[in-house]
Amino acid sequence: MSRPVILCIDDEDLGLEIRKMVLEREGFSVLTAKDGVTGLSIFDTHEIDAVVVDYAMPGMDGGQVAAILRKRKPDIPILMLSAYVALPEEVMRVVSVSATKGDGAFTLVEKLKDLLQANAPEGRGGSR
Amino acid sequence: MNLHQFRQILVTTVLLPLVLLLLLALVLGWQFQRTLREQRRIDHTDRVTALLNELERLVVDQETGLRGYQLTHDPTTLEPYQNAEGALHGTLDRLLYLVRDDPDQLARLRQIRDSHEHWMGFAGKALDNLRAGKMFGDTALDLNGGQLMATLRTRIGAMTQIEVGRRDEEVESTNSQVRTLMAVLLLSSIGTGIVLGIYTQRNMRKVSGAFGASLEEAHQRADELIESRQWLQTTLESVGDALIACNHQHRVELMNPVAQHLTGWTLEDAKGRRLETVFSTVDEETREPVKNLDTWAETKGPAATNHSLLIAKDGTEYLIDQSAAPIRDAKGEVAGVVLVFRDVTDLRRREEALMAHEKLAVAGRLSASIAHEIHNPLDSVANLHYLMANETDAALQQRYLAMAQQELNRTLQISRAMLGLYREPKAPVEVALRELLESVLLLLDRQLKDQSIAIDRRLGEGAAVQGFPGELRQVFTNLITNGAEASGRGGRVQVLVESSFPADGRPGALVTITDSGPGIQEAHQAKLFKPFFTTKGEQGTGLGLWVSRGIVEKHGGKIELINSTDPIFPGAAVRVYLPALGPAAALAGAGNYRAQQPLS
Repeated sequence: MSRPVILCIDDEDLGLEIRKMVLEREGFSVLTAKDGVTGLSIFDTHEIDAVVVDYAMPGMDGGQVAAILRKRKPDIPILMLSAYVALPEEVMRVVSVSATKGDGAFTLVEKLKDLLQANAPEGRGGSR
Repeated sequence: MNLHQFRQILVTTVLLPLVLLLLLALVLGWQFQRTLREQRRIDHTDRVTALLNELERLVVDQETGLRGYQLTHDPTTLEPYQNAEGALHGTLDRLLYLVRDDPDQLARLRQIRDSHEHWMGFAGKALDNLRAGKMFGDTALDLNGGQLMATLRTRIGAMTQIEVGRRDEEVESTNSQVRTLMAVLLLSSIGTGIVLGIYTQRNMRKVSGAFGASLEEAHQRADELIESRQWLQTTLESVGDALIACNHQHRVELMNPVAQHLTGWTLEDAKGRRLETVFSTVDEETREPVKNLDTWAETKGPAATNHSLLIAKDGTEYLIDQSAAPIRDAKGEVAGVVLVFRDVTDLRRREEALMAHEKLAVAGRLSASIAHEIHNPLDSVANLHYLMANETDAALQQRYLAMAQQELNRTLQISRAMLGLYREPKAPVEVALRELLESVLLLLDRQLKDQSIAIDRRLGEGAAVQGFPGELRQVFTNLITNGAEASGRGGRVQVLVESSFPADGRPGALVTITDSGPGIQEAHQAKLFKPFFTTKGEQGTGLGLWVSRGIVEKHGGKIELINSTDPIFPGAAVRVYLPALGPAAALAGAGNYRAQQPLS
C-alpha cells in the first residue's frame, strides 16, 4: 500500500501546518487547504484517501464541506475536527468519525488509521 | 340679591327717614311761622290796647287837672293837665303809627283825636275864663265839655273794646293753630313711623333673606373646601411615592406618610425645618451632599435626579429616584418646591442582578467561540508535543518550541481578553480605545468568521478615556455582536474609533459601529434601550442595549442608535460618545437629568 493521501482543511494556518507535520511523520501524504472551496477543488483533482476537516471555518463550514464530499464520493472517510464539544446531529450523520481539537496527535492518528483500515478491505466501513 | 341691590337698600334705608324728617321739619317750621305771626299780632293788639289805656288815663288826668283848677284855682293843680297834654300827643302819634294799616281803627283814632281836639278847645276856653277871673264857670260850657269828654272816652273805650275783642280772636286763632300744629305733628310722626316701619321691615326681610342665602352658600363652600382638602389629604396619603412640599425659603410645609416613613421625620417635627435637614441626600458614588435646591427653584418644570442616597433620621440609607418641581403662585413667582421621591433600593438591586446576568450572558455567548479559540492553539501544542517527543533533531525541536510558544501566546491573549470582561479595577483607569476594540474583535473573531462578517477596522490612535475597561468591553462586544447579527451571513460591519472634540461638549472619544443590516424599524426606535426588548426572539435577553446605555451613561457618555446613510454600511449606526474624563464627567456635569442631546 502506497502512502495514503490525506486532505486537511482548516482555516488555522499554524494548526494546519503542525497537523501536516504530524501526519507526514506517521507516513501519510498530506495535502492542505485553508477553506472549504479550495479543499473541494483539491479533492476533485487529486486521489484522496481520507479527509480531515475542521468544523468552524468562515464561509463554508466543515459540515457543509463533508456533505458535498459525501455526495461526490460516498465512501470517502471523513474525520471531523472540532473545538466545540458537541457537533450538530446532522453533521455527525455525514462524517465517519469526529475528534475534538486538543485530544492530542495520538488520538488523531489512531482514529485516522482505523478509518483507513476499515475502508481498505471491503470498501466503506463503519468504524464510527 | 347682589351687592349693588344690597347697597341700594342700605342707602334708601338711611335716606328715607332723613327725607321724612326733613318734610316734617318743613311742616313744623311753617306752622311755627304762622304761630309766630299770630303772636306778633297779639303783641300788636296788646300794645295798641296799652296805648289806648294810656291815652284814656292821660285824658282823665287832663280832665281831673282842669276840674281841680276850676275848683281850687291853684295853678299847681293844673300840672297833671299840662303834663298829660305833652304826653298825649306822643301817645296819639304812636297809636297812629301802629294802626296805620288798619283803616277802621285809624278812622276811629282820628275821631278820638278830633274829639280830643274838641275837648281841648273847650278846655282852652274854660281856662281862659278862669284866668279872666270868672270864678264860676259857664254852666253851658261845662256841660258841653262834659259831653265832649264823655264822647271822647266812649270812643276810646269803643276802640279799646275792639282791640280787646280782636285779641281774644287772635288768642283763639293762635290756640287753634297750636292745636293744629300738635295734631299735624302727631299725625305726621305716626305716619312717618308707620312708613318707616313698613319700609324697613320689608327691606330687612329682603336683606335677611339674602343674608340667609349667603350664609347657606358660605356653609356650602366651607363644606366643599373641607371635602376637597380631605380629598387632597387622602390622595397624598394614598400616593405610593414620597412627597415633600416646602415654601420658597425651602422650609418643609407638608410631607405625606411615605415621606415621613423614608426620612424618619414626622410632619410635626419636620414642619418649618430646612429641607436639607429633613431630606438629607448624598451622591451614591462620591457621598458628597447633593445640593439641588437652587437648581430646582430655577427650573421651569419638573427635574429628575437619580443616584441619590437618602439618609434617614436614624441613619438608614435608601437609594432614591427623585424629581422636583417649583410651585408657582398666580403671578408666576416661585412659591416653593415640591419634591417627589421613591425608594429604589430593591429596584436597583434587581437592576444590578440583571446587569450581572447580562454580563454572564455576553460571556456565555462568547464561550463557544472562546472554547474554539483556546482549543485551536491547544491542539497545535498537543501536536507539537507529539512531534517533539520523537524528534532528535535539535533544530527541529527549537522550531517546534517556537511554534508552541506562539500558540501559547495566542491562548494567553484570548484568556486575558476573556478575563478583561470580568476583572475590573476599583477606580477608573486610562483606557486606550484602539487596544480595547482590538481585544474585543479578537474575542469575537471566531464568531465573526463563522458568520462570514467582514470587519472594516478604522481604529484611530490616541483616543483614550478614563473608565472601566471590562464594562466598556462588554458594551462594544454587545454592539459589534448586534451589528453582525443584523448584517447576517456575509455582512459587513465597520468599527470606527476617533478622538472627539465636540464644539459644545467635553473632549473625548467617539466609537461608531455601523452594519449592513436592514436598519432600525421606526416602531422599534423608542423601545431599543428598554430592558427586555429584543428583536432576536429566544436568542436575545433584551438587556444588551439597556445595560450598554447604563454603562455609557455611568461613564458620562451618550449612546444613540440611528439609521446609517453610508451606502456601503446601510444598516444601523450606533454612536457612542465617551468623555475623556470618564465617570468623573458624569458626576461633575450634573448631567444625570440633562436632556439627551444629539451626538453630532
